[in-house]
Amino acid sequence: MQNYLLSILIFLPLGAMVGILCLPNSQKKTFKIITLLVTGLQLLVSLVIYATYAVSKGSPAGVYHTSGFQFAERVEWIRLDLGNLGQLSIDYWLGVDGLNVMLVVLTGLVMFVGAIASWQIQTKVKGYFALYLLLSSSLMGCFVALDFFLFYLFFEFMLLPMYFLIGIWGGERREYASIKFFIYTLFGSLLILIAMIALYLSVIDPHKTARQAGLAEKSQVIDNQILTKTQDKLAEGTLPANNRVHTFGLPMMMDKANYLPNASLQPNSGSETWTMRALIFWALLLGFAIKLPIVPFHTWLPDAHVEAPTPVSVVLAGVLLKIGGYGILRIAYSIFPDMAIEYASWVASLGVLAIIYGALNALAMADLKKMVAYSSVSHMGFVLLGVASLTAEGVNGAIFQMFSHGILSAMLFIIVGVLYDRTHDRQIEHYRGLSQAMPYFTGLVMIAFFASLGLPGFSGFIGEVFTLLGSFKSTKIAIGISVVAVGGIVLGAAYFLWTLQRMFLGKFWVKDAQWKTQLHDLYPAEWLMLGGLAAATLVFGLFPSLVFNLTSQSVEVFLGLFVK
Amino acid sequence: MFSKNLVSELSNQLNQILDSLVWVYPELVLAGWFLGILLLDLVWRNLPYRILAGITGLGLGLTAVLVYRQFVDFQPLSGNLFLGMLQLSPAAIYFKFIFLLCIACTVLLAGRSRLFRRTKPPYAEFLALLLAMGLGLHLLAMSVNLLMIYLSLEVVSLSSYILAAFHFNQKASEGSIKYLLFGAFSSGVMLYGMSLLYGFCGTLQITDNQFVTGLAQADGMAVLVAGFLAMAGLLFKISALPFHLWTPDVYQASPTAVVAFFATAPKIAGVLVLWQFSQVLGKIDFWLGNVKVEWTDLLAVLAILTIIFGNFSALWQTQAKRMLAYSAIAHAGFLLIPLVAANELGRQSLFFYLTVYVLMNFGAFWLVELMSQVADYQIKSYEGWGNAYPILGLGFLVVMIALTGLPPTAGFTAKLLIFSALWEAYQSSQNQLLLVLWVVGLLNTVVALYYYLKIPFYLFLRPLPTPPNPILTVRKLDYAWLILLIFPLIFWFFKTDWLMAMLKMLV
Repeated sequence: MQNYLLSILIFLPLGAMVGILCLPNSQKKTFKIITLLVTGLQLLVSLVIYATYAVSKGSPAGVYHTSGFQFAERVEWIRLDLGNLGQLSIDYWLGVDGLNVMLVVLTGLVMFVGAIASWQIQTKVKGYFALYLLLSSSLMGCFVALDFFLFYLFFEFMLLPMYFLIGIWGGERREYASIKFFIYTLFGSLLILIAMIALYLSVIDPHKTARQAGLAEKSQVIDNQILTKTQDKLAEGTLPANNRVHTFGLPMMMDKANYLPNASLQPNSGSETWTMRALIFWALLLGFAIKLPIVPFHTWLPDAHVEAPTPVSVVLAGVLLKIGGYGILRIAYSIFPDMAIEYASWVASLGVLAIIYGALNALAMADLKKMVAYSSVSHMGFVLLGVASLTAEGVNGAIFQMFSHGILSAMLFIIVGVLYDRTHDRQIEHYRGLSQAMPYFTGLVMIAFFASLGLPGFSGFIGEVFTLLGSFKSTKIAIGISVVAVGGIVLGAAYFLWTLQRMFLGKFWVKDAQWKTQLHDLYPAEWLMLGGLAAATLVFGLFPSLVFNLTSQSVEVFLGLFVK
Repeated sequence: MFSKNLVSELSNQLNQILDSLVWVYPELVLAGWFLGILLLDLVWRNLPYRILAGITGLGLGLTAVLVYRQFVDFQPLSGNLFLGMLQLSPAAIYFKFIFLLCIACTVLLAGRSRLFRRTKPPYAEFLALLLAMGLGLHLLAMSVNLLMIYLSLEVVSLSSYILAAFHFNQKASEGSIKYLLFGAFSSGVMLYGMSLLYGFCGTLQITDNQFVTGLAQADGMAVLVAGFLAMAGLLFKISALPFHLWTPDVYQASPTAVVAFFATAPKIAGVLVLWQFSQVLGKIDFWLGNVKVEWTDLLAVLAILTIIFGNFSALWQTQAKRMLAYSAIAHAGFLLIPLVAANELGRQSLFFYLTVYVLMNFGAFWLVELMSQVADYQIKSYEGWGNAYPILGLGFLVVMIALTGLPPTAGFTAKLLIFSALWEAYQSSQNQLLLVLWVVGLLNTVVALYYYLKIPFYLFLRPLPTPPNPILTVRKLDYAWLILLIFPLIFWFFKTDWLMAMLKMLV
């Protein structure tokens, strides 16, 4: 059973989706219950993975060790004979290590919260929940896939459900927002496709190649000696081309010895080919940066957020953006460490630009949801900064920041949803002194805001502090860049506190007198979501080791790529 | 002595021709059926479409059986037919099947099309012309001689000029005349180019060694120009730049079934001959002064222009068939990519792409024709029908996604493979132009998405206007048909190896 947990995470919602599609349209309640149950189960399974993930010294930590992944599943999926080009092999390969284990937990949590928030959906219920489950399945798949092709499949696959979720159930300008989201993200994913094609044709799988070339007998276990022999033959150029087994396996792409000797992506192949490596690195980085999103490729995000229904915003900010950060860690940086070092300052500057620009925009927004959306841009900038620092603190901090932002942004968007459900208005200046009408709600809002602006004791603090620590410590980033980033925290405090003051403090007043009767305090479902998330941010803020314990070993391995 | 030699030579040749006859049974059946249907129509006028289609189907079935016999009996030595006019190869046999499939689909689609039936065109002539086109396509797939290429291309073209006008209204005539004019022009250009090529090397046989050596000795610029001119007719058939101008008008005005056929079978045949052609010309380096130019450079430039032009023009279209016309132009550019790559993977990926392309196109045109009951081909009037007929909408979605080239459809796999082939070619040649084509081709998918997505956008994101006054009838046959066309699109994504294993055998 334990060996199939990751597959269950992917196929459980997929199966449930088929089930929903088979039921008649009238079963509205059933769709909701099924979705809730399935996402609940997903959360449970991801918690089991969290609890049983081995962290003792010497336990497998993944990254580039092909056999170092926990809960790993690997089956050959497609094998093509490309004639004199060799073979092409695509694996159904799943696994977790420190880089993605927390993101799996986050996905489970946010999808469950999103399912609760989806309870209010009234129109075309069947389609909505079918798409929601499809989205859930592809998000999970994206985080646990270790084969580039599989990753790309899930990465593209989540665009369609997202497009329809925004485009059909969104707000007034939903059509514009959904197509913009699709086009931007597709552009990003094409850059990733470019990198994928270039990479798989340059890299072989030494295991399968050894078998194909007859360097190992059928029944023989392939040990390191055979692998080295295969790789040596490859480097010498004595391995016949039609025996090479090209692979999409990400860990294989991280090993220099697996590159074809004449490939232009070959590391240390001299100065003349460095440009191709740099180009492909930037293609990947840009592709993921659009998803993250990084200024100036972020403009799809505010539109998508403002138009999306609350639960979709929650999923979008809570999980989708993390794929950008995760992709940079797992793919762009791990496969191109030399380029990552070379361009560390550039990447860090992009991160800082996002931090400052996002924060300034958030400060200027009159729409609460837009303010929250821009705060996401700002907070995801810290992720990029942390990753760019290439220090243990920075990278651990970046992963933590992704996890923490997932929880906090989910909370913030639910808060916006709570208000919007009651009055259908999100303008900050249309409310004043809400604390008097909705005291409990205001309490939770304060937790969310303070946690987001980085008050010690909450998870946001840990993420920001560690990424900043990393960037100050880093030898690859100019100190000035890190200093500017600190300004982002100040600005963050400014827009959150200012919003808090304008909307929740002072004398109770709302634009439309009718709203006064509509502004209920929290309903039980809202209590459950906001309370749960608030507890989570507090727990992880007080005990950051709950995350760092799982991530630090793999981060160490990851950083090993950069000193080799 | 001399005369004796001549006689023995003659009898030798006659024997060879007689021997070759065994290998063109399918073509003979097609020709016979073509005449038979015309005769039948003379005797019994106004037979219903169903009966005529049935008879045609019988002929297609018989041809398919004979093609299958060829496949079974095929030996490498049996390839060279009619003194080197035709060459039978496994690939030709495979695509003969595909052509027959295309004709069958066209017959079915025409039968299903209300507009086509309402105008009451002469059914017998319609079917007979389709069979004649089939004959031309079969021959084209086997041609290795410039003369034979020209002849079979003309057989295809002449039938298509008439078929294009089969709505018999002003628009259709306009389209058909346009088609005829451009077609005649490109045929002329092609013939001119071919005669130049013949002048350079003294043989019409493109598989002949003399052909290559002759061209290699001639002036580079002259050969390049002559080769380009000789390609004209083929580029016209696949609607690649700069011979694409007929496409939108013909697509818009001609019966959908005919258009679906134009978009697939002649295009495939054209690409196959182009492949042969560029395999030969690719062996030659052309020196223009001090600059070395390769044949593939020319193709690469054409591909880049075609892809960009097709995609960007499609953006502005509001009419489904016109949009598909520009999409067909863009796809012609993609079909040139494996030719540019010109390696083993290129060949396999080309076959894969073509196979998938047939399914995508017939799927798309079938759906467009179904929707024409309510929509008159305007994309805007698709509003909301996806919600009313979810399976139909889903079918549209899958086909459009496949045409765009996104997973999980075989359309993505096809793109992945052709671009892999191109990358490989770039790796070995380090030709920057190939890199440009590679990046331009891949990034154009974004543009493509925008217009392909328009259809699902109107189907799902807009409400159905109330009350929907025309009524859409979708028969069980339609669903069955759609599933047959669309299922492989998804299946071959997950099991690419199965199709590829088959295509690999066509060496």
